[in-house]
Amino acid sequence: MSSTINNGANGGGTTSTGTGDDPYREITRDQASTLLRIGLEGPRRAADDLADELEKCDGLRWFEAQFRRPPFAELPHAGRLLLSGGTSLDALTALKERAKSLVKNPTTREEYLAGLAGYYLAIASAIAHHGARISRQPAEELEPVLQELAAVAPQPWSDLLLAAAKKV
Amino acid sequence: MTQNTKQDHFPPTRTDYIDRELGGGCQGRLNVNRHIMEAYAFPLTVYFRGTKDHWIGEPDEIVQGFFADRLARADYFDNWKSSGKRLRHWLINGFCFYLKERHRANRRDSKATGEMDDPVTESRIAEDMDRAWVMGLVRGALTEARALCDAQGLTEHWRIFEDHFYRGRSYERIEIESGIEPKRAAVMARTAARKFKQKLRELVRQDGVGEESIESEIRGLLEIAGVDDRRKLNEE
Repeated sequence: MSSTINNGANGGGTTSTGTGDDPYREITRDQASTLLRIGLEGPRRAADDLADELEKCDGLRWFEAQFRRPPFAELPHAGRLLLSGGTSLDALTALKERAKSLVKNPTTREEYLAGLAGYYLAIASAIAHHGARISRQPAEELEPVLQELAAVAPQPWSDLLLAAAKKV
Repeated sequence: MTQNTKQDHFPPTRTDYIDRELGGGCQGRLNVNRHIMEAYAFPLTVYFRGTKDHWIGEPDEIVQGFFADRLARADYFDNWKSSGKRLRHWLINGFCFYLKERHRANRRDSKATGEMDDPVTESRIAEDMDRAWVMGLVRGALTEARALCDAQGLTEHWRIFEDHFYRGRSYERIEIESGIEPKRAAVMARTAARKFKQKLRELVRQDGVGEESIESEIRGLLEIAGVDDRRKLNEE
């Protein structure tokens, strides 16, 4: 990555409005190729779909809407209980199981995403408040997923996911 | 649950930025024009500098003159849609005609001399314009993704992404400089990489690429970007 292409111009670019402030004006073809590859769809984890959704929407409102539908609807005050740790481990495991079946057999995209949210929030709450792992996912897989979801989730859900990632 | 090889269970609805904006009346048309000027001024300028016509005017002036002339035409985007071309190819075709018009006008005025470029070939169009466009596209995606990360409190994530994917630094070296352990740095970079990917695909879509073709389009852009010949020579 040592060389640069002579593109005949110092500024401009797809969205740049100035000519001298673009920190990427010296980008090389190698760098561009590396970055273009990031744009390709690689193998996706289910959590990527949830992260993508959280990036697109008003996360806080989205979470609140999910708590009124399955798999959360069977757990009254789900949002508050998940955050405070006021849910038993059995209830969290049941939530995770309902969420898992929804993810496996969704009839709509909304159901699928609600299932993912239920799955990861149940796991995060169990780890953060009970110090228990209710998923068979290995720690080395679960930790980065929880960290990445924490990076895109709104507060206070981000804190819950992050706390779980640190304890996993 | 660990791997989902499908792209998505329910792919999002295709959004065609230009169609959507053009449906929004005058303001939408202004938005499209502004987008075109921001996105394509750079590659058109690069193209112009590479032609024998560069004597007919300052690159910025010529490119802005082209935009002012063509984007004011009511049927400009309808004609583009009918052509079936990528927007950048439609623009470069029009730009070549515009250069011819300017050349003829200058000759009529007898104020300038010089030879006109031969009509450009499709391969030449693709080679010059596409490469400049690809570089501008990646730079644009970097700029927009960085702004998004800053706005979402992910500045540190972006810095690590930039260090690793743009500057080519290893996570071990990043740890020495920042104290962030490699495993954590990789996760942070991945979060920022998702933002970059989102912006890159948005910009590709805005060039008139349908959702279903974005993947193959990016693969095509990778071929266009190629590798730096000088690096190949250095490695020999």
